[in-house]
Amino acid sequence: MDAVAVGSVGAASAVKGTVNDADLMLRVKEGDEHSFADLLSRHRDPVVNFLYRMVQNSAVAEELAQDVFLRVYRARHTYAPSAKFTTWLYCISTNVALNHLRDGRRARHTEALDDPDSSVARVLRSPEPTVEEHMVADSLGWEVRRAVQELPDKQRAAVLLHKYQELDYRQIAAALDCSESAVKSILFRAYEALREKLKHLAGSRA
Amino acid sequence: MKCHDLDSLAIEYLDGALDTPARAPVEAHLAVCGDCAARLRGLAGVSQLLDSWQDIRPSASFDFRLQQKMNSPAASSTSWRDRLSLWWFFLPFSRPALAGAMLAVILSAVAVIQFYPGGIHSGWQATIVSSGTDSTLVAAGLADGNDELALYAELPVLENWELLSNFEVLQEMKGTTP
Repeated sequence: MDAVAVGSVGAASAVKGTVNDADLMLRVKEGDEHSFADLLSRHRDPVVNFLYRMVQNSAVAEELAQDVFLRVYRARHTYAPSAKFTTWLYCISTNVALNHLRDGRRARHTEALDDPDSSVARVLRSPEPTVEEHMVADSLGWEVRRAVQELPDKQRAAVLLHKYQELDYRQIAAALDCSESAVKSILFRAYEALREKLKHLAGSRA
Repeated sequence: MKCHDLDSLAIEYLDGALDTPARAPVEAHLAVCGDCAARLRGLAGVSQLLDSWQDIRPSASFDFRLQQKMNSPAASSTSWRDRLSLWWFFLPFSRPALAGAMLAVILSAVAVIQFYPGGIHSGWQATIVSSGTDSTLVAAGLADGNDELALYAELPVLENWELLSNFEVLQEMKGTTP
């Protein structure tokens, strides 16, 4: 297999912005690795941030984002532009995040996170002070983060895809594998829960 | 419009995704219902609060680490679960429709097994019939719907068992066995 240079700036970058994601992915399917680099440069930050807000750990979010882009790369031969590329990308990202959260809960049944010697804590702990640790000092940010964290996984994913990734209802429905009307219901319940949790902060940013 | 009717439209209204015919009754209701108006202001406030959560920047080594993983032999191999889930996404019909179709096939199979004329077991008995004379009699009797007890009574082995169980000499021999 030829070495893949995802960080390199290829000729395709010259037309970046003029070629849509689906066309870039079709080029990747044909073996154009530079198009994959372009896709990565377009979607790396949004995917990392979506996963960061899902798992609330920057190191874990990066690992999961790498898993997402690996899956995209591995699936290049099966890609069909029947849906928007971002729909497919966030479908994979959401599944990766929900699987991680589910597996983490399973692990916590047997091992406490706050046990300094636990393997789960060792895996999750970053040697550097994390962004989220810096945010503890920021009360508003911390409260928002905690409120989002307390949402059920599916509601959290729906809110993040809606608010930060700006996906439409159909795309969110595809990512969560449910109907559009279910998405609207999930979103309403999630925002209502957040409104209740954050009502003491109302007007602090208005 | 009632207050609870707003639940299914609130997010779309705040997104500006409602067309004029759908938006008009919402605005009419908000004009007369202070509680709902306050609730929607609260939801809009949540959206503003979420803006305070700043993006992070991926580490500088992100692309390099990904490149290493992509160039490893494992990158070309995908587990069957991954392949299935990625292929599943591109199906031309919805996933609930496929699940429904699969359920219908399973239910049809169960119905065929349950309600097949003569029952599926008669087929198995037909196989037994060809393998021995005694079995042939039993199977043929059952297939004809005869009384099972009457058939058992005619079986030579059962007759022998009845004879042996009432044979006094054998009963006495049992008693003398150490």
